[in-house]
Amino acid sequence: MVLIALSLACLKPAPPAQNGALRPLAVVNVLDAANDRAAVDTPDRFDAAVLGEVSRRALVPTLLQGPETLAPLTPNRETSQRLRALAPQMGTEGVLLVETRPVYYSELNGQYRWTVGVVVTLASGGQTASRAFDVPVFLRYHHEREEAAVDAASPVVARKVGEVLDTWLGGGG
Amino acid sequence: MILLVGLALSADVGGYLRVMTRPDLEGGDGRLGYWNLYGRLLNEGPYAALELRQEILDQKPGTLQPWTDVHAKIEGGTVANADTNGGSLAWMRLSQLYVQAGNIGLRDVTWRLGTLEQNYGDLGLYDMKPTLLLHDTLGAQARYRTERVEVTAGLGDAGWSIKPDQYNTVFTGAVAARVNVAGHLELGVGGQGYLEPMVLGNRNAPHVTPGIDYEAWVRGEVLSEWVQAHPGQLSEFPNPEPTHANSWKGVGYVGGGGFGAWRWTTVYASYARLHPQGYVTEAYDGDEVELYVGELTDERTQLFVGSETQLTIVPDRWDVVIAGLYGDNQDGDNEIVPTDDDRTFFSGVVRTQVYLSPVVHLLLESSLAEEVSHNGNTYREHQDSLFESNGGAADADGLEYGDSDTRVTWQGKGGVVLNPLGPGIYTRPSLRLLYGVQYSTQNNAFGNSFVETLDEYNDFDTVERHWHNVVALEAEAWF
Repeated sequence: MVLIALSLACLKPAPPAQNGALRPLAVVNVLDAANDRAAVDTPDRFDAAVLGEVSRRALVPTLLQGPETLAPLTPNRETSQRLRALAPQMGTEGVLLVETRPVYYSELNGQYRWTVGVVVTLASGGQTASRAFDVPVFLRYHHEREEAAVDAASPVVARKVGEVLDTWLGGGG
Repeated sequence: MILLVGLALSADVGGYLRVMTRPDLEGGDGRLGYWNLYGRLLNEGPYAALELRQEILDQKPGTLQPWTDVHAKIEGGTVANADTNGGSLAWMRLSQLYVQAGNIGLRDVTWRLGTLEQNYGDLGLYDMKPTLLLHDTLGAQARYRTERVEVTAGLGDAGWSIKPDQYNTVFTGAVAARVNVAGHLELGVGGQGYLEPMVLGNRNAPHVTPGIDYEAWVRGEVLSEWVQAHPGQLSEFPNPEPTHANSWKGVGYVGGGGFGAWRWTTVYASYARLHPQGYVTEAYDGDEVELYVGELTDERTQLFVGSETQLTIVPDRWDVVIAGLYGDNQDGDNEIVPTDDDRTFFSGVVRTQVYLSPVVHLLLESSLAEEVSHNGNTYREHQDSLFESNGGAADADGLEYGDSDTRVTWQGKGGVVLNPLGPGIYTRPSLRLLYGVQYSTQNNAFGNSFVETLDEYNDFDTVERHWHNVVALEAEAWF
């Protein structure tokens, strides 16, 4: 049994698509709570997961965070308007905007279920690619709230971010 | 069902499942031991739950606009090809149906109407919820919730849950509060009370049949003793007298952690005085009489204390969960019959999970438990212990069973776990290949179809077995 486990553990995932030389990409991760209007930073582990996916694809991510970046995003939760609000902070490189909206669902068979709505948008050179999806996550404890829900969604969100990036890079982005 | 199909077409769907095959070459039904006291792992059967949430008015952040949603949950413990019920929908039930609304009248208050529930969490390794309140109630509930404080109050009728075959209104109300201190400490306290009022003329309402002897009741000899004392006067058997019935439950909770390797510890406690039973039917010489046994069942109490600690020994490499519980059930009316309402039990479980890679994990778990009957023998330690029910001597008229009042059980479990979503003892879905072994002082301490009689015409041999082994292939997921 242990040998089976060790051999399974040695399997490595295939490397993602690469496209030419290293290029910069601005990354903005946003947490929009259901009971708070303010857009706030996502947890560190979430940021690391998203940045990790970007880095694996010959892109050099720059994480834009803090009140200076997020304050202009608070008045409106419409993605297109947020991209316009981010424009002054962006250079000529593209921007990856990951918006997360955790909503408490219910206690379900011993765990606290949250639904994290996610919108991943990549804007570059006047073009945008976007993907919206929900990630159900389960938290063990009552005191774990929005931040923990977004944190728990990290593996799934990172994977979807990778898919958006692959689509973009595969299309010559 | 139509409602569920309609909701499913557009609802946010969540759920839970566990399904397994556990070939058992020792004649068991696929579970390592009798129940979750030895840890839920390998001791639970298949289960499926589906919860639908239909958002009717969504929450608008930072506003006081009303929002509302509808929840429906259907669940049951059967899956096709996994158990005797074959996944039949007849074993599924609509366990929850309620409407929630917020920002109506009071800020930060969620109103709920339908089936209710209040809980401080569960003991994950045991799959037990010691502090559950209002789960038996259909009524209305209000929950005030901020980041640090939560207060819940609810009331309604628990009659259909407590007395499904003898329904009578059981008014119930509960209040519970929880405070979080600086994110590292949580305190909770709550309670629920039940009142079943007297209703003249209603056979399902609480009554008392005077003069019933406890031993005569459990032997089914109340009527025969009456007729013996009053020959030919069964029709003069005392009529039931109407009364009230009440019961209650108090719960407490302490949680803390969030420092380094110490992720979180929960301690739950509950003390309940169970609701008295209604009536039972006894027959004598073709006549049936309803005996109201409320006075014989109104001194049942249950004390439960449980704790669980989750430790991250090496982040993303090694986690440990330690849990323990103690239970003391007392039945003040019963001094003669060993039952589940009159026993003490305790248990400890340790689970450790090592992450060979983010997806491939090794799991090891061990548990030790003891159960002690307050009213004499109730466990059979040997295949021939039918003959040793009373101090080593046979007692055909005795109320005890077996040759011991104590059952001690040890279990060890281990195997490979595949977690597609990465490390975490409670991360799901999990695909598991497990081996489990149990030692119990009780003979054949697992669900089985063995013939236990020592009758000389028994076509099958009785078996003496204290060790039990199972191999399991199973999946568990929250979604």
